[in-house]
Amino acid sequence: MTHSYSNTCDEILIVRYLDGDLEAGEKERMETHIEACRQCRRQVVALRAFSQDLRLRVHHATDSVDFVALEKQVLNKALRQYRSRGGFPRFIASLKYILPATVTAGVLLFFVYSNFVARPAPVPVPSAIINSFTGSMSSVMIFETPETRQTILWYNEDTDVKSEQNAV
Amino acid sequence: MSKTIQNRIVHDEELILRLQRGDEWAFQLMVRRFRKKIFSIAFGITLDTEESQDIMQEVFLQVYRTIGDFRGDASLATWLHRITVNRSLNWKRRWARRFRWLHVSTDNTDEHPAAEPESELPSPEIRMANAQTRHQIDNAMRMLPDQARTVFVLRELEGLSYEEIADVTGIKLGTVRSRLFHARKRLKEILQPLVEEGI
Repeated sequence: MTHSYSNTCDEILIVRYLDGDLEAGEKERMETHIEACRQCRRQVVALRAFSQDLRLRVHHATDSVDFVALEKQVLNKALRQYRSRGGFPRFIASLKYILPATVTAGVLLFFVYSNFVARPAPVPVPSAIINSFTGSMSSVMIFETPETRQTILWYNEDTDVKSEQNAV
Repeated sequence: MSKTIQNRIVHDEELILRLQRGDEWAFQLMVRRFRKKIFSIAFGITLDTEESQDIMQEVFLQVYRTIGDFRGDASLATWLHRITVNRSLNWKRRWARRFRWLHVSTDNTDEHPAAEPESELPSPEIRMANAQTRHQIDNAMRMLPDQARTVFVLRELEGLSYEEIADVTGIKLGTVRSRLFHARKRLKEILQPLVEEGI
């Protein structure tokens, strides 16, 4: 390299200069150096030209792309994604709230139902228990209720005052 | 709908909120706003037009799927750049495509892109019209390591600052400087014949 300004003939400074990363004073010194140093000047010109060429290269590639068609493709895919997969995960995700709420509600309902609504019907108690019977009966009929299996005794007794008195 | 998109300025913050609500119009607006930027970055890294189009679509679909997770700790543009860079680098890691990548670079008759220096440089537009020039640029870029090329592309194509590049790539500021320095140093070596010839 030509070293007419040897202190600033520095690759790192050249890179920072190309990036616009130098302070005003540093930049001024670098520009002075570049004017004097042919080799550094060539490097700067070559790297700048390459960057410009790269931008044009990408611009050239961009021009060949049909972005309108691509946009439609992306929108269609996103819509399909929403319909086919997007909706289901959202449903699954919503289950993490719905499921516990449903279980809690179920437990509460069961508690309320079993304690307040579905209380067992009061079992009818017998109106009297006959331990013994003396006297004469004209007829006796025995029934049993179908569900509670209560025995009902139905009888006709003769009109015997003594016997009537002995009935307990 | 397109008329509304063209005429109304929607800031990124509003765009994100609309996207998170599943607004189809907002998604279309985002695609229209960022499609060229994303393609440029993908192309700068992959140097493949078709793959860059696929990457662009994948980036937007990923954003559509995951916008609900976007916390806003970076700008929408930074987030998009980050996804694009990751997808572009992942593309390079796929073995079949990597083979094609290498195949292109070795099969090319012009192995040394700057080996035939031009004594006079015509205007960039005229040079770009030349297929050989495009190959030279592509080959020079391919010679850069992935990470250095990525940083170089973000700097030169997108004009991102060192800090923004650090945000996008998730590396430290010093590493950004270092990679950029090595990218330019390597390019300087590649372009050396051109430099020696005298521009």
